[in-house]
Amino acid sequence: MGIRTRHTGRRFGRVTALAAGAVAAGLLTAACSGTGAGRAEPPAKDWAGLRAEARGQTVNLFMYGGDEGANSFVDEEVAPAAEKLGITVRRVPVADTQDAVQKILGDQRAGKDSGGAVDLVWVNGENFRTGKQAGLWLCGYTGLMPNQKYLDRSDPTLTQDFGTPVDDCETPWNRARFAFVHDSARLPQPPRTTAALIEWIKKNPGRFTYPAPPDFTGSAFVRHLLTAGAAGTRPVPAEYGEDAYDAVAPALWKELNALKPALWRQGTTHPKDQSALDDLFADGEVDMTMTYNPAGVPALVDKGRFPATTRVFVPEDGTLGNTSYLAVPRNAAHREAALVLSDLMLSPELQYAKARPGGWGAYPVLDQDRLPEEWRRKFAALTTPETMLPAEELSRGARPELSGDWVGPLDKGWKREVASAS
Amino acid sequence: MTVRTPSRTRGLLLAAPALAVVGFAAAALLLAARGSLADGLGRGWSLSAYADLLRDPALTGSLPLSLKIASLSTAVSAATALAVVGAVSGSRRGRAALDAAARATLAVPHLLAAAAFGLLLSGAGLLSRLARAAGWTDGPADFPALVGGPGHTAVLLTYVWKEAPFVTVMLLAAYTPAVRDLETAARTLGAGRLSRLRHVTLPLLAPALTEACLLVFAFTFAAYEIPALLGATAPRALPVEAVGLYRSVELGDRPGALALAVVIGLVIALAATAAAVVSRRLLRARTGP
Repeated sequence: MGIRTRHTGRRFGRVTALAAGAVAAGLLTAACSGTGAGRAEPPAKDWAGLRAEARGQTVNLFMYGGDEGANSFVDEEVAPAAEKLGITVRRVPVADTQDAVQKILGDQRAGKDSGGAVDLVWVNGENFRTGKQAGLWLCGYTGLMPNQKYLDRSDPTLTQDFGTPVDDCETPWNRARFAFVHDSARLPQPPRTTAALIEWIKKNPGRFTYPAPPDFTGSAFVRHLLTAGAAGTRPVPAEYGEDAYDAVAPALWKELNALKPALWRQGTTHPKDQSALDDLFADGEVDMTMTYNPAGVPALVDKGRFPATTRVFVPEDGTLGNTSYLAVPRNAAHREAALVLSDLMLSPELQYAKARPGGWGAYPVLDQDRLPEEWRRKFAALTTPETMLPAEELSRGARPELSGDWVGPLDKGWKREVASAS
Repeated sequence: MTVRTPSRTRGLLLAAPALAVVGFAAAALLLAARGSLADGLGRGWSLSAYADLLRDPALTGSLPLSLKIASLSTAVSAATALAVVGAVSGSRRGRAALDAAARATLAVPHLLAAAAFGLLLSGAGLLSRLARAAGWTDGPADFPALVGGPGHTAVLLTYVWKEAPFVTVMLLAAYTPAVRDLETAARTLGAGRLSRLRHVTLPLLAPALTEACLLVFAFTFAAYEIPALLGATAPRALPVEAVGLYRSVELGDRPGALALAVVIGLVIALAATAAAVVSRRLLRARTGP
């Protein structure tokens, strides 16, 4: 008995020592990261100093991975340009931007104030808002950026991201516009207004559907119907409030429920995301699909996923438009390089490379009037493939997005009032 | 004493990996439980996530759906496996072929199986195209809504296709030569096929079958991929609902998502307890009091 006690005792002693060592090591690391918290302050440096520090760093750029055009633009244009500044770009594809935000939140909860896995995120309004609420973003650096001088600072789509003030916490990168996609061979004359679209859906049962919110595109379609006033709703206040919601939502749910019997599969089910809807369109199960990124359509046609007769249309009464951004988490491990990279992605060179046909085709955020003459001419000479919206049409009739506070309640309301209603 | 002690330590050491796995699972569940009692950023204490669950149509729609999917998949898989094993048990070559086929199916990942059944059963899928070519339907709209339909048919079919082979492998392992000898003895004593199954085969295979059924139930109840890919928009299976809620843009939804995870854990714990009770009874019935 005595032997056993001593024996296990010694064993336990060793284990305890090991455990104590591990705890001590953990505390040390925690202490180190604790002192690193000071790094969350914005870099009070001049741009040249920042560039020198960025040299040799690798930026983990988290971005939605489902857009082939965006992926190849980053790999073929952004990465080589960054290489010249001594920065390596590692593109990390995510299924939804929310996944990147979750990762940063996880790091934050684990007490990781520096050395985080995410250096730069291609972010959209709702996720920016979520991250801002949780205090995830690095702020107060845009004044340093050389390429910010090409931006129109009075443009409301650049000061507000889905109604959330940008507050120097992200860098604009892209413009987008909600649009519908049809095959002109099957449907030569698409509906001209949102009201006519609803009429068309009811006259052609089973030929239309939309992705189930909270999918980004499906959620945008529901907001489009709301803001277009197609449901006979009153104008939507930009600011969210419960009274505002109660004033406009019931009519919207009524209209969507009235639409249900005319939808694909009688509206008993919906495609789970935009890509599933694209599949239905490509297979000819429905006559239309929709996108918040018309720039992605030519690539889908080139790859043969959509027919060559595919066309994009925007109802005359307008659709939603927004700007997407690049944001740097406070705890980014390589934030100097991330800042230099987000400025680089704003440069006329890369914005032009992004917009030119044969490239991604996505719309620039720069103000043409502020560009040097040479670049102004280059941008003016851009041509648009038939399958895409020309840039000047992008802003025509575009409505600013509702405040990000609307998105969650509308998505939940849809699930409760439309999806679960029989 | 000195001989027994090291063997006990060795036993503990051997059990350590298994205990570590159980420990990780328990820690994960505890973390989820803690998160479900906090706000969106994991701070403070509140029961509101559970109060919201009771009012949320998500739970009233999703819990019955997940229970239905899990129990139907388990029952159909078990019946299929029993029938197949019973049919080929007599021939050694049949057993070997069945074993190989079942193991090959086991090797297919669930995600791949879901994608394959999607391509096979969807409106523009292979079966629908064949039906159209045969002149039975005019287009995708006439083909029954197996994928994404309210009946969750594609989900059930995929689960049965994946889980019946698993139960088969478990049953084949329990189907020892001793079982066959007893069956032969019963046959020579004049027992028919049905009474042999009822009085010899089933009681001897019952513990393995219960165990396999528990694993299948727990897995199909808590798995995400197949219902996420092939399920309908509403109601959605509990795990799909939980993941959707966890990934919501509203930070305030996270406690609710974790509360759903706790509910999933509780249902599985209940099923495991029930299975433990049943298999102890079975064992006692076999060995006597």
